[in-house]
Amino acid sequence: MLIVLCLSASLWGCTMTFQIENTVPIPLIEPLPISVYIYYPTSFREYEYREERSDGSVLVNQIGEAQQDVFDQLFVSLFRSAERIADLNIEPLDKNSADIIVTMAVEDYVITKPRDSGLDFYEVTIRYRLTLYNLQGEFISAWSANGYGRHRKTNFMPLAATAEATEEAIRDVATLIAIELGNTPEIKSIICRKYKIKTECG
Amino acid sequence: MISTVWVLVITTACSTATIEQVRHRVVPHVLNNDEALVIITNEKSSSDETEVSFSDCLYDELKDDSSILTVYSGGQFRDELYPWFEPRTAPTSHHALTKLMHQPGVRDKITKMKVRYVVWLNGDTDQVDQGGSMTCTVTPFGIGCFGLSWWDKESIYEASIWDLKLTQSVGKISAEVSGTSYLPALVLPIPLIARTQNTACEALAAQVKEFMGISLR
Repeated sequence: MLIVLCLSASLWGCTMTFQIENTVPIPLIEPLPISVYIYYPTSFREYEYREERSDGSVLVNQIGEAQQDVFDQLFVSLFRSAERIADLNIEPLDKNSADIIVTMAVEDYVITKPRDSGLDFYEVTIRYRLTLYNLQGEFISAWSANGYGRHRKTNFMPLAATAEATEEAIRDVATLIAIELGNTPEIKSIICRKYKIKTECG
Repeated sequence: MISTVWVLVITTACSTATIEQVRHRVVPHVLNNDEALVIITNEKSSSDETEVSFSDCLYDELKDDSSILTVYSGGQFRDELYPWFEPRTAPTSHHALTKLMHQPGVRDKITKMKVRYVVWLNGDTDQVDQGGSMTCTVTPFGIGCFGLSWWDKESIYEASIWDLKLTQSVGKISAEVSGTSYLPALVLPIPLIARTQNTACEALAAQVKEFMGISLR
């Protein structure tokens, strides 16, 4: 977690900016037998949480870069192959190189403070939306994944705990996607159609 | 009178500890030279999640013992086995552990790390009471304080020991330490701290070593 502080304290308080880091290891999972194109919209790539506090200070958690790293690493392990694409223009895409397109978006990000929960922790809940498209650009399905993280408050730089909790929440979402995405009906259906596994797909 | 107060304060600023050990199997559990132990905190509960300072203390106490060749911290173990020992996926029963060991790559990784036992930690340290008063003043001769503050702390921890070879829980150890800390001040405050968490850590570490038959080697 990289902390960039505004040291020019003024009557209006200062801006505390935390750069969230990727703390997620390479998962120990069997890859699904499909290949994907991955698209991250600008809002995902540059996502940051900004909160203006009552004392005039501003808390900023910069999440975009870390979450790109996390999901790049996850998808490379989760699928047979995963390639980033710059936009959703399907025309130039090689239709033989992948089976589906996956896009990511942040739906919600919430911080619960110790004074609100009565606990000694800062808690973060983050919800992602994972959307699948076929290579004709048609919508297949969307799946929401919630992640939860918490970090014990400290007396020194208590707001740093929000960054630690965010890293835990992103790791939790990556865990969920790693173990559950392959069990969703849509992914199972794609695998069945690709490999024509009639006995499993019915 | 003042010396009497000091003697009373010094002799009462200490901790009382209660240790319990339950073995689920009569067969002794001996950690062989080529086997490893993992210390991991149970992160499912918000209310009594074990402090990092306690798990670090237990890790240091066990690691320092030359009889134990390899001890892994929870963080190291979770990273190696990711995503299988996360708060969302960690096994909580014999059945769940058996199922987990059949996940592709998990048994091989555990075998490679030579992990035999997992020590699951629960519990924490809480301040349960406090009292007294203290006044500090600034004078031309410096700062001075007068008064007496005290606070009670309780450290309650439990370690569940799982044998990954047998894929089952083999015992539980608990440590309960309570103590009163004092801060008397006659010009200068002199803290007399009851280190309940540290005492619980040392007591639990000693019990884990005895449980593993380590002290007998």
